[in-house]
Amino acid sequence: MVTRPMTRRRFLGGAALGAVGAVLAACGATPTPQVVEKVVTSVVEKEVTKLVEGTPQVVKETVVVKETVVQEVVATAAPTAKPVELRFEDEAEIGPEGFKVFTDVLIPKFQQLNPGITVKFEPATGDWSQKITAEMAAGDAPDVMVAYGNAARQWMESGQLLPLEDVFTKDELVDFYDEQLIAFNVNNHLYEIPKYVSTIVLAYNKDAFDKAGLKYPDDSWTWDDFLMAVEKLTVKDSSGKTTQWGYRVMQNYIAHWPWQNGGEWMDKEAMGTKILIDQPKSMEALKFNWDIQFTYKYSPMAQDMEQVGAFDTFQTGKLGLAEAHSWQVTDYIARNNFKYDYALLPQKEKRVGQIFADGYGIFKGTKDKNASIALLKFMTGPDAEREMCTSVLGLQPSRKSVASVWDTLSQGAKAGVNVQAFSQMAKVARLDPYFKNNAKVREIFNPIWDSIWVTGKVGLEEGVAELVKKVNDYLATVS
Amino acid sequence: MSSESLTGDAARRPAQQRHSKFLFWPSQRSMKQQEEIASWIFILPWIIGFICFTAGPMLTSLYLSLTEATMLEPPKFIGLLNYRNLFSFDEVTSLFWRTLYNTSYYVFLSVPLGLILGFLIALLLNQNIKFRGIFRTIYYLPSIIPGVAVALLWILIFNRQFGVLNVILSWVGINGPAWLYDETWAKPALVIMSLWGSGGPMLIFLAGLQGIPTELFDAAKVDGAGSWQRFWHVTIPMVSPTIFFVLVTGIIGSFQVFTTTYVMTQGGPANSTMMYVLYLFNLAFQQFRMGYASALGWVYFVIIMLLTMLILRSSALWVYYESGAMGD
Amino acid sequence: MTTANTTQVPGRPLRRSHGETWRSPHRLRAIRTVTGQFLLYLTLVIGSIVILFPFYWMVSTSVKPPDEVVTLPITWIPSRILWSNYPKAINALPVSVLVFVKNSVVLSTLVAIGHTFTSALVAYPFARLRFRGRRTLFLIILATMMIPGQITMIPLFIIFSRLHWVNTFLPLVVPAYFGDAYYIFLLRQFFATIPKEMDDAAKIDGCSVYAIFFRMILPMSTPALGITAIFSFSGMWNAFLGPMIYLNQMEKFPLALGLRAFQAGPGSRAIHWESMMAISVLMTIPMLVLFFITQRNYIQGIVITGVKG
Repeated sequence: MVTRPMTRRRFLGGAALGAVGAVLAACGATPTPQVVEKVVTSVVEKEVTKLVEGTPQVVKETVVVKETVVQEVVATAAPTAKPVELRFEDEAEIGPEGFKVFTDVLIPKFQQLNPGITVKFEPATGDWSQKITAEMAAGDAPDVMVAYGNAARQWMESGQLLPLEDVFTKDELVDFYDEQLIAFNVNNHLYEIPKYVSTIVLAYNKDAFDKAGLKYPDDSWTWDDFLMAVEKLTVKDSSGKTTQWGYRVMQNYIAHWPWQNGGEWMDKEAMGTKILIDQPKSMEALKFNWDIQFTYKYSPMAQDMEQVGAFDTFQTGKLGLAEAHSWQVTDYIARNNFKYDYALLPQKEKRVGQIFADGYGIFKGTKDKNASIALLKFMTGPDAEREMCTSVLGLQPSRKSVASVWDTLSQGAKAGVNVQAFSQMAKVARLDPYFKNNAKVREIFNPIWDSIWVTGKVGLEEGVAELVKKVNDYLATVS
Repeated sequence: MSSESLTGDAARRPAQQRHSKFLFWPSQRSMKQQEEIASWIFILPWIIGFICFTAGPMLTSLYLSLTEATMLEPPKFIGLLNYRNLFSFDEVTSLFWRTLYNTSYYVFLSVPLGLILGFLIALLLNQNIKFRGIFRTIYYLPSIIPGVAVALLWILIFNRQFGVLNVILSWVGINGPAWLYDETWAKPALVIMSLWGSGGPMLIFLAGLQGIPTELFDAAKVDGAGSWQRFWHVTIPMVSPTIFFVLVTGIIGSFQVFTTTYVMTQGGPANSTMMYVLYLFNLAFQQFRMGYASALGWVYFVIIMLLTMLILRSSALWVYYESGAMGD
Repeated sequence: MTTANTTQVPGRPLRRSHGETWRSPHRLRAIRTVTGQFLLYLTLVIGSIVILFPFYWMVSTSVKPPDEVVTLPITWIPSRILWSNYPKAINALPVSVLVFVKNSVVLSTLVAIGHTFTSALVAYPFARLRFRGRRTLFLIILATMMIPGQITMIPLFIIFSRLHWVNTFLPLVVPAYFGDAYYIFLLRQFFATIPKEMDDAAKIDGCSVYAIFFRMILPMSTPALGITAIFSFSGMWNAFLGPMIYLNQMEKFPLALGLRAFQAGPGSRAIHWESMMAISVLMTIPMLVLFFITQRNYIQGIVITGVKG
């Protein structure tokens, strides 16, 4: 069997076929959603993992919940002539149990509401973006998939995802956080709908605070309060070795510090074309962190504590303060064997956080556009988000209307930690910055950033100057 | 061999013609022709597989190297521009030289060391010792532990304060470096990791050692050779095909090092562990510059091919085949 | 280099029977002393500790309670042993890990068989026969190992997609039945170490080229074939990339891919260490057992002795 190598014609042919397919699929009737509002009272007995004397234990608890529920019921489409099979690809940040939420709860519910559609679940394992790129190139990708990062941006720019402006009305889109929608808006098309929101708050080790005789962080905390606490929380033993650090500097998630100080990271909210971290206010913020790491040594160096990524550090109990992301909540419940809680990020000129965009998209070449849209609407609907939030997945909802569920019914809430902090920070968060040709910019950025923060070989001012020059020179050639 | 069983009238034909005519009946064909036909029949599976699964993608990637391609849109032909950019010394344009250096450093340390280590262990395990099977299994164990577990494990071992390696070094008074987070020591760390997995070469050497006829040693002893001489003049030559194999495949394989750096360091710190294939991967699947990545891939191919051919040529000097010189 | 093959011992049988004691030709005089033996064992044992040490960490982590997994300094001995981590890990995913085991066994067996036999077939002419273009073709075979897989991955995927083989085992298994460059090379090296005189003897006895291969070369190469089978089996057992690309649903995943599902994303993020290590241990033990059995039966014992004059 002789294979024909990839030629331009085949690509065009494939693209043409995809376009024709989409047009044909669009000729079906779009189901009209009905909005129903009602007050629901329920007494719920739930099994919750709580910290009992430092060990996570499973405990039964009764909770009375009263909520105003805005339900969007998608009227089932007229049953299509033959059963439709959809490929749905998603990941579970929290680990394997998360997949069960999809296979055992969400997908059966969707299939129940939409008889005639079967959904095949595909877990995103390993480097799934590579796999999906290959599938798109071959013209056979999952119908609905989770998509974020450099790869997703490329898929959007290459027109591999279905434009979704018509799926939701403007009123409906208001329920999502603006910043996330910005990330999914490419070339004046909306290509994805947010799945969940991830934002950063301050996590603090209560035991460490108690031992140091410090008051817990609160909403009034400024950078100065923060620094003072960090200093007191850094503990050395008799031989001079640090046994507890005050705070772990997260140089790869640091953009909100310049923002809090009134500075900027880049020139636009998304697809930046100029990096601005060398400006005085931004530099001040970076220097604040850099001092914690190198001048005062309140932060462990990567070499001392890196397991696989900085996210595990707080769990060791050797950190007084850390920045935590909302998807870590359920993980902390299982693994932290010390008392801890969450607080808002400290502020300087203003209070600002970071928000990350994770969403679902539909493959342009999907064979049944309506079914895919139905699945997408379901997975981003209030019901599904409620399930994702309260289950072990522990995902902070991307819909503002479901935020109250996160605050009261999520696993974190039940464990008694202050997860409201996440909801509050999400309201004042800006989109985590990415540049035009972000992957290439990172290629230039990362080595120099490593030299500044990881190996400490290059000084902050020197390193930032070099970095800014190289990045802006490059960006100038592509703008 | 070739002229032995030629029939009389065929022998009278001029030399060129003797090879070119394909005679149908097996009895008519010369031994040489039969050998040729048999050869191609044996090789046929590979040829079919090559045509079906390998040739097409290889040619495609060669074509792509002359284009700008995201793989999600029609590729744009740009001629040799990728190749010209590739050789640039400006690191913003191309990390070719840097990654080539990193990879070569890794290969030329880990392959010889791994080879020697594997050989030594095989020698030891070829002795008449109790629990031989258990020891062999133990030494082969690292090769069968799943890669991702190995990567996670070694990150712990290399931890500057609490990692086992530095703890042991401190017993002899050495203040261990930050290994994977130190630009100078990250590559040596990877080399050390690769040595732990020398169980594969060890096994191959074992089989090679096993295959040496004991009569050779008996005869050598009769001729008055001591142990060292027996080792040098019997063992090494008889095992040289195996050494050759481990060397060539070790080099080809190590040049492709990817997973460890992808999982553990992502090329850091400061590009000190940015290996060639990792760079290529980022270009192809993060930056979506498959054309440039393909060009890099083909240049790599040429480099590895030249190196291999060099070793192949040299093999005539030091590799001994029991079945007679292979002449390649 | 000595041409030691000129020494021939007449009258010896072709193969030593399996029961005869096997003596290593490398017995150094030094080793026969007690000190020598002691040193030898000591070296091997120290080496074993170094090797086994990470494996111990794997096993101990697999039975740790979740909050002891990521600690500083490292918890070497768990405060309590949670064997329940194993059933927990096996049932953590919507698909039981035992299904992964089944898939892995099927895939690895099929691939090992394919690799071993077809590579032996293809290797034989390169070791034994003369034909035009042998050197060039061998280089081409080697060349297929030199191309980074990333740049051919998408075109190859498209081929399989057109064949509708995606989401089946076929893209992983079928190519194994067309030989593999690494094993072809390996077996060719081994075949080449068999004395040519045996071929000649067989030919005089009237054996065809094919008979020489099947009746003589193959049986004499069991160590090499055994190694090929082990390598191939364990290669597929631990293979992650191919299955990730070509398999979509969890029911089809082999162990190596199922293991990744515990990692929740590439690189760093929340890692369920204890579950991952439990699965890793489950993955490693069958391979160990298989290896132990194979090396005992195939790699020791059968020694080729002299050639009849």
